[in-house]
Amino acid sequence: MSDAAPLLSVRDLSVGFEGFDGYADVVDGVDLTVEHGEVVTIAGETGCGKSVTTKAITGLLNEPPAHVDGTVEFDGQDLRELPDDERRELNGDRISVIFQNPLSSLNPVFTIGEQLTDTAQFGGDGNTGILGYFRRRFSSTDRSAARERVLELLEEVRMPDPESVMDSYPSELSGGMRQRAIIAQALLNEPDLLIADEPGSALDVTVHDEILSLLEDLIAERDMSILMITHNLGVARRLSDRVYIMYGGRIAETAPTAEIFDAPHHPYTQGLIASIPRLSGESMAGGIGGSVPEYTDPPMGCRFHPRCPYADESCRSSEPADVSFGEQARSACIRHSDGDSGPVPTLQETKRRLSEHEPTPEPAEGNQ
Amino acid sequence: MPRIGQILRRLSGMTVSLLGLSVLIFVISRVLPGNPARMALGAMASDEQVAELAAEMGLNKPLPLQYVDYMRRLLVGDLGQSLQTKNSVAHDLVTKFPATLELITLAFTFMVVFGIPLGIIAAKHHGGILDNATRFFAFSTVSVPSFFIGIVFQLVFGYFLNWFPITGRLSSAYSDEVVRATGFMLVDTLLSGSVAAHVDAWSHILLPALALSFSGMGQIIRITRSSMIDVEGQDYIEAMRGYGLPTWMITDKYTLKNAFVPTLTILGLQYAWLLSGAFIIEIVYSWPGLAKYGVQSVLTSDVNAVVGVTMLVGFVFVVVNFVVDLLTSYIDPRIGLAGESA
Repeated sequence: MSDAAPLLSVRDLSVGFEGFDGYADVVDGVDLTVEHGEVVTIAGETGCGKSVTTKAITGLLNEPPAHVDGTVEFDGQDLRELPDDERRELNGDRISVIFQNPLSSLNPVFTIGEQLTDTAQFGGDGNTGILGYFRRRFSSTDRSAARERVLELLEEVRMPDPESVMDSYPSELSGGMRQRAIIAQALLNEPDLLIADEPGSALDVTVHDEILSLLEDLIAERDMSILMITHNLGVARRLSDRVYIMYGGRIAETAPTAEIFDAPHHPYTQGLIASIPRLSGESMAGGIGGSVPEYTDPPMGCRFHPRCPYADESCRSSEPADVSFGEQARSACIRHSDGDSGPVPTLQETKRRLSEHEPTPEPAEGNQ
Repeated sequence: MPRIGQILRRLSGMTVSLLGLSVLIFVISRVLPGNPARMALGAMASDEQVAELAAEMGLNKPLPLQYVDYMRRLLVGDLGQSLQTKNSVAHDLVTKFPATLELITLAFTFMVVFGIPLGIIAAKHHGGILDNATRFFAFSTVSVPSFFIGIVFQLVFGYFLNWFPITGRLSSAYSDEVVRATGFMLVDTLLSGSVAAHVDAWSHILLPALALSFSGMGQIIRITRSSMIDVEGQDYIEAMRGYGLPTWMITDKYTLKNAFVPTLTILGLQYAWLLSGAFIIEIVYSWPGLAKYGVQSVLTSDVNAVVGVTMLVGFVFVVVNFVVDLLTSYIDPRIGLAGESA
């Protein structure tokens, strides 16, 4: 697997937004790869920059107000260097997205059939001119082929009664059906890379579970790579081959799924896992105190230090370097470095410390 | 589909508002200052004559009875007699209203045909030169009163450039050969088979219709632009971009339909507002429509004519709003008709 070039390779990606409160440095130097056929998850709290990272990958950020830096290499091409029209051809053809909110991602005034058939017929043809469009729009063979394709996909995502769903408006469907509809929509053009933004997260537990097993089956049946975003570590563990833990716009730790849940290295990962009773054996009241940083004025040094139970002066003064733990695992914490004398973070120790730890209040020592 | 039931319910609601409107207009017309009988007969008439006419018109009966009488006659299309023209009000309306309707319909067409595309262009070039130019145009047309635009048009295109006639509906040279079949000059001239007369009718209606359409056009541009920009920021549009649909298809199909709902609401209101705007433009262009008749009837306390004109305007208002409601719920299935929570 590691011989071939990865399907997606993101290097030193940074995204910032010019806002009223100043410049918000939302994604800072993210490196990540997705191999052919691999399922990779970016996990982290709400507001850690995971959605913005994927939007930068798909080119859906408006620049300005966004400022994007770094390289996004897809199948050997740097997407950031590609001319706009070539870039657009990839979207919906080789790269597709399951958007986060099924209700708001479906146009309320068109039927499911209309939207999905258009996606099947015109997806990935961002450059079709006005004449070409009309020629194909009124070609009934094109249209009915696209319609067949949509019905096939709706069957594949186990949509109940696909024919009548085609004639329904999004507001007439249940949350689970809408979720299935947008999964079908994302898969219509057989993408090589599927980006799934919090799939099923808005659904209740049983439907969420059904959607996850649907995704599991789709992953098994299809030859595609998936980059998934979730705040739910259970989802990450269930579906993915490899996990990136993101905090404050940076990658804190990455490792193959089994490794990261068995032996997390980064204090933040350890804290996350310790917060989940099912994963850590017993519950830890309180979780990780504090909240994600303000991006207009992020903490100096390690961005996690105000909430980290191991933090000391050195965490504030220098940014931690990645320390490698085998071929695919690395963690960005100063405690891993050889020269550091502090305690090595372990799951048990982190748990103990977190239950006693008070996060540094936001404005404290801000002027120092 | 419960559509038919919804439409029926809305229709009955419309009837109720028309009834309420008729009561309101009737009462207001009866409390207007001035004795209609005296106004009709003139200052020279004796008090007996005035009292006699008042009795004949039913003006000495109690108000509710007068209303019942009025409504009974209204149902058979009798709006009473105009004291001013001595014709039946219904006849007067039928002869005057088509001219006004033709004018506002053309003005409305201009509003739609120029306003919506300009709004879309402005939204597409959001923040650019085209956007600012369009917004400047829209802002100017909204803020300048229509009679001023009308007079400027007359001066520039009629007087200085001499491209268009500045008053009337048709040159007198053609008035004999045109048969008044529908009351719409653009149609009648065609029916009479005279191309020259048809062109002449266009040259007469163009300036007043354009002047009339301007302020509404500015509104349409502004609302179309802002709702297009609003819809473009929605998740479902981003999703369509993510799926790589042709960019202009996203604009013209997936953005426009959503953005059209607020525009449609404004269009409905504008159509009815055009009626009141037409009253002013008709005076400026000596357009033989409802305006002069309406103003005269108010000034002379011609009650039947006042009630007739006001009822007609109100009727158009209510019908246009009904149509807008239907169209809106057709475009956006989430919007039920009034009284429904679909």
